[in-house]
Amino acid sequence: MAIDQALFEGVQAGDPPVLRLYRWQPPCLSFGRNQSARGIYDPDLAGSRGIDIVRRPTGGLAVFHDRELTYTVAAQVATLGRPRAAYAAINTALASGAARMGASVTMAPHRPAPGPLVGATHPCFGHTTVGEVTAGGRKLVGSAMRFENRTILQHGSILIDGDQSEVVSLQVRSPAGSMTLPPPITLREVLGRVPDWPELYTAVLAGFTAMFGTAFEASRPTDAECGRARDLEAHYRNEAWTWRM
Amino acid sequence: MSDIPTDLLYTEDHEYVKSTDEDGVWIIGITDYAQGELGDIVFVELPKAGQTFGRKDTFGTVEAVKAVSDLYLPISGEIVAVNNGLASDPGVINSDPYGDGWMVRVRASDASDIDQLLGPEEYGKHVGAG
Repeated sequence: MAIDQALFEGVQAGDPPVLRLYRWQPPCLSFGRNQSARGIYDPDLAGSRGIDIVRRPTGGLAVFHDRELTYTVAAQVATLGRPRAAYAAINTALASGAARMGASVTMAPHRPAPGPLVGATHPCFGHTTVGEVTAGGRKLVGSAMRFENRTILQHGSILIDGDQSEVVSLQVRSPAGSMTLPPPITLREVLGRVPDWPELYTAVLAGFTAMFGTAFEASRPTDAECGRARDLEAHYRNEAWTWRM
Repeated sequence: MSDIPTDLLYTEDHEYVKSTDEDGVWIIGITDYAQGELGDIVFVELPKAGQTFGRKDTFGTVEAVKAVSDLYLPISGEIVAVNNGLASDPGVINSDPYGDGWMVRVRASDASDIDQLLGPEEYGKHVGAG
């Protein structure tokens, strides 16, 4: 999260748009910026299973990061438009990437919001939002955004395998009805196989390259970005932030 | 087509400023265009009464499904009232942005801030330009 935030700040200051693709080690449960977590999720249980917990700067609800690929996009309004347009463009890129692997995917139609966020206990993958990438009516990619200083930061999780049941299993008590949610779909189920990392990275990158209309330049975070990320790490490790609500 | 009342003032970041019966106190919220662009609003984080902010300072956040956006105070001053009802019913910002969806009342600390705001015609052009 600290690196993503550092990249986001760089783009706000005028750096070129950024696409970051990464995995998590150890597995991690991430909360949305404004979701209720205190008293709902059990940090000791997560710790006993070797699972980290972090709160994102982006919105949305809890995601379990393990057998998935996480993407980050940071871009100014001048590049991808305001949040709604940027969200649509990024979903188009993700769908294009999935299609390149042979997945038959569609964009979800509009559905009413599941209600106020305060006290919501269902996971990110327990509700599909308009435009999200789905297959067979089930969610394949979960995404969330932050909009600040005319710049968007969007996170998302492309499921490779698993059913996200860990999210509910880490709750203090399983809320009524949560287990009746339709499970998300994964690339394993859609493709009938688990794509290897190079195939997955290449396909997703190709989808974004087509959407941006320009080739990305591969790079690692600069020394300045790493330095800023080290400063921000304290914030993202601070329990006052993680359990702020 | 979004609703742009002619008796309000606006910012380029899509907040509105409405006068009140009390001299120097203004009501702040987000415009119809902004709520439509955001989509279904599910969470609002607002300051407490008594806090002071400068012009264009972030005074809160609003989350539509998935997207968290900053709220920028159009005028400097002290928060004198907060619409606490939005915490349990944030969707009213979508249904009634200029009425029950108001966010805060601010006592302006610099009257000249009002001169920096957009009139309805200017705001309409801004929205039209994207």
